[in-house]
Amino acid sequence: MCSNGSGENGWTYVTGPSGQSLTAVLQAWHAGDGAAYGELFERAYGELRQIASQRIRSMGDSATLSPTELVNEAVVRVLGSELHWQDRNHFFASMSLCMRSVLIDRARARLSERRGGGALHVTLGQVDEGEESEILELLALDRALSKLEALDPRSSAVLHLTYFGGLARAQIADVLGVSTQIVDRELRFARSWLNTHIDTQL
Amino acid sequence: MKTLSADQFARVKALFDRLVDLPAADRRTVLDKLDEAPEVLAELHLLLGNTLVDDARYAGPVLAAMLADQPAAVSEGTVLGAWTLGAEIGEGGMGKVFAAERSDGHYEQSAAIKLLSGVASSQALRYLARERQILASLSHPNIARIIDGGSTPGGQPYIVMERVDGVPIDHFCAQHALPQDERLRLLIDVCGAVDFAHRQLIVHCDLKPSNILVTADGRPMLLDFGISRRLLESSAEDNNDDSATPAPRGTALTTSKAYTPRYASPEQINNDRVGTATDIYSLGRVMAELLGVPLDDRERLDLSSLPPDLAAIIALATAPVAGDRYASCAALAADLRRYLDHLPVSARPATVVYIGTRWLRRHWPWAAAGLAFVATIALFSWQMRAERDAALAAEQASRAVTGFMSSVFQAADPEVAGRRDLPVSELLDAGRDRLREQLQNQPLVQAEIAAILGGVYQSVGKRDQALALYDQAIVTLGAEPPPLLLADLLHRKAYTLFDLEDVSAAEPIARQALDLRQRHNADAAARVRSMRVLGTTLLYQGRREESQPLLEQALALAIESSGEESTDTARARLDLGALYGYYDISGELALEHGREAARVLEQIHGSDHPLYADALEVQVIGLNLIGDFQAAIPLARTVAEQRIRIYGERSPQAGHGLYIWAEAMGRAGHALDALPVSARALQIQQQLTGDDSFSVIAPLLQLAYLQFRCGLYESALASLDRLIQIHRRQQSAGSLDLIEAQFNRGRVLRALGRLDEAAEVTAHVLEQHRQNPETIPYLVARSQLEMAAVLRGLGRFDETQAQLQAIDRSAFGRDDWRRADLLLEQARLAAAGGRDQQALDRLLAGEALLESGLGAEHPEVWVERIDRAELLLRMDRPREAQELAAQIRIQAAPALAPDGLLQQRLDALP
Repeated sequence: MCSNGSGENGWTYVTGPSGQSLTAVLQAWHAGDGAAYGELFERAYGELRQIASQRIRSMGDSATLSPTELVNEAVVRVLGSELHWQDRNHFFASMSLCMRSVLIDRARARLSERRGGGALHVTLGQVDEGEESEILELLALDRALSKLEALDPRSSAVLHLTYFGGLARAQIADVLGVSTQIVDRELRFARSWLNTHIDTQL
Repeated sequence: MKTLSADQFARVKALFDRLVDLPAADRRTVLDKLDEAPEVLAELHLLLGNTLVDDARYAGPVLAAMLADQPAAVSEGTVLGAWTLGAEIGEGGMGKVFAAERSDGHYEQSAAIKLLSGVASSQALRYLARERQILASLSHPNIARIIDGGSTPGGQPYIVMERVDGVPIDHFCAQHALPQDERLRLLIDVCGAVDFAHRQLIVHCDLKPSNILVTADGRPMLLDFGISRRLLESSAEDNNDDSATPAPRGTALTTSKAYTPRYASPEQINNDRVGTATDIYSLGRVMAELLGVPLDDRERLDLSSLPPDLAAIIALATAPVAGDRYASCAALAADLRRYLDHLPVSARPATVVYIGTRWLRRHWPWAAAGLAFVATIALFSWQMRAERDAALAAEQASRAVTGFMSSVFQAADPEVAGRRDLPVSELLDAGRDRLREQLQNQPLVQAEIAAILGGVYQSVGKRDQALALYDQAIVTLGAEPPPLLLADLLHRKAYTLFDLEDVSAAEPIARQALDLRQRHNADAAARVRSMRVLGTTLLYQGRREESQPLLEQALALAIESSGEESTDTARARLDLGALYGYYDISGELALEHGREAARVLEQIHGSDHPLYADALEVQVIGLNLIGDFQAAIPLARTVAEQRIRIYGERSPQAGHGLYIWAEAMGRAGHALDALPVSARALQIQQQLTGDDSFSVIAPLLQLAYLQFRCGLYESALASLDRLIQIHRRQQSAGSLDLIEAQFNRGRVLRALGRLDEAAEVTAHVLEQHRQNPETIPYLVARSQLEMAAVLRGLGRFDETQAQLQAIDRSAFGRDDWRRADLLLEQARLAAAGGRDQQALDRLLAGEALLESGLGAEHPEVWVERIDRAELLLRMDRPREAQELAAQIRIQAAPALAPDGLLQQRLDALP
């Protein structure tokens, strides 16, 4: 299980509108139910992967996948529709933090395995060219988000929730406690910033 | 690039927001005028030039990484908790099965591990974990025990269960070429195991041959109890109700269809509520398969090759509507045992009939004069629907309560928790006690759980305990209870009282519940249910005037909330249509509601659905009231055939279907055709409830009437004697139905020419009417008319005349044609006194009245003309007599038994 909080992965807290870190907000949300939360995360993540691979099988192309669609489907499957929609949004925002940390860890491991000859990690299998470039893109995205976070936590949070959380703008607005207009503005700025500053070179 | 300071960044962002929406030219104008640091301007230029939205570029790698992150598959050698997987030993719809050994070094144990394919929701998994304790307690010699369970690192749930060395039951039967009786014995054992589980509130939901293994020594073992169900269902829902509407399926987390279509019940396939009846259905299908019943191309059973009793058993087990099946697996097993012992199988317990007839006994008056038969049936099918609804509600309740119950199991009390075979009643009592102790400070929760627990008590027949719980919960709620919760409790209480047949106690409570629900805007479905319960309670008290507006309102609300094209609305129409029809309010309205309900039901459920037959029945009643008997016959016939097909011949439903059919033919004057159908209905009723049961009265009376109509007076007399005996045994002395039977007996005696006896009987009837405060003027008038006819036969013409003059004309009611009998009797008196011309005139007038009521083609109209033919002959007009007789022979044929007395009279004519 991943822990919520500062990561060793180069990105730290994502901050909400009041200056309180997003992580702290979410921790407060699931306070008192840690074990259940951990299990929920595992389930939701498994669910997400399951849906993603089903879609890929039926459509044959990951580009047709919308993260928002994916996440919302997974969250309904895992939490059911009886959970309040706000709780669902918070749950998935929270989950996206964990997911990002897991994905980045594993991406790094795969990359170092490939670059370092991978003698010890045969079980991870071959990494082909296409996958390498995707891994590099992923790591670059993570770095850029962390960098933006240092300058503008809210903007970074909006971007994170969009790409890793798969949340729609209304859901992001809900999680961050701001209006959708603000989310739109932040997103527009953050996208430009990301286009400008993303750097795929390690 | 130089890193911007926080202030500079803030400037950049503010300017970006200001500029990004401007057209390029304006942007440049503003930019040119800006007095900013060069780093800020440079950054701003970059950002404004990079506004392209390219989400796929960023989201794509995230998705790709997620997909690459799939967990390793489970295979031989994988360690799951304390278990190491061995070889794969099977693969089924639910997933792969592996042999497994305990590997935690504590002790050796082999087991089978079933990996459940598909992704179960976390909620379902948590539920499963909780259920494990209960499942583990499912200790029965024919059930493979669940030992453990969990989920793999990849999130795939698994179940560790007792390993059974056996072969699927269908293979076992084939391998050993087992004879039919042996197969049935195996199934009886299976039923016992399933029944055991049901009594612990656990259902299987995927019973099929491959889940029923038979060991080498011939012991059947059930696998996978409670698994598919737990995985398919979300947490318990507390929208249980004991009345009409199936609950909405809001939160069910159905991720995959974990049933096998061939054995799956309609409710599973339609994704409706499942319950113990679901297992009964599947058992029926398995049984059919083991007995070699062929399937048609739509996988429907073709039971025609089986012995009728066996076919009836399977038909009842696999009835399309859950509430119509056997009440329990134990009942199914009992019927199988009866079959093996060559005893008659009883399709269903007779509680329904009992309630219907009890009602009839209480509320005889309006149902008098032949309508009585029909009333039994009306209540019968109404009650059937109510029972079905109650069964559905009970099922929901039992599921809702399981969560709480499992906490009871896990309660700290070691004496309770340590016992494995805690019967459900003790479980319930433990739950009730726990409720009292632990939730004292949470009255709302306590009340809600009390409501659910009460529903379970109700469903297992412990209605007194249910009432006590409801009362306790109502007290707990205190002085200012949440109105809708209170309404729910009151509604349940009313229903339980209604179920206890304490309708007068149920009524004010039902009224209070409805009132609360209306004042506090409960959802429409709840209000409709309350209206129906109150309406029915009133109806059962014979308070039709109060019941009718409620049922009408229920229909209006059902239409408003669920629309015309809904089952709820159709049900409300059936209630109301039946009320209109059986209370003789309006045949047109009954017909209209019946037609509309039939249309909607056919569209939603198809014409094979039992509710569709109910809708036809309402139409039949409407048509009978309107007098369109000819149109009623084919519909009634369909009702009979449908019910026989759905429920089997030996079922109350089939019996009443035949009864309706005979009734329609009888009313149309086709007494001769109706006779065998009526006899069949009577026979079924006798087999179901015994020769002398109260429920036999209606079909026996019908048969007697038809025999009388055909001129089979001796048979009619025998039937009536039996009927009177049954009435006496049922202690209904002095009641109107007994008086009616005696009246009919007098009439038959007169037809047989036993006039002295007839006079005595009819005088007695009149005397009883005089003493009976509940009597009906029409019945008195008919008895006086009968007395007049007897006196005329005895030659006491003056007394006849006096008797006729004493009759209250208004007693015949709004239907002119009912007065025909009076005219005809006056005619016969005139003929007896030698006033032939006057007699002829009166006969013609009477016939005309009769024709206006029954139609010119009605055989009974023609039977009455035998008198005129005889008179014409005596008046020396043989040609006319001959012509008339020839016509009568043709037109009255459907009503004349060849060996009957009427036929003899006709034969005597030229």
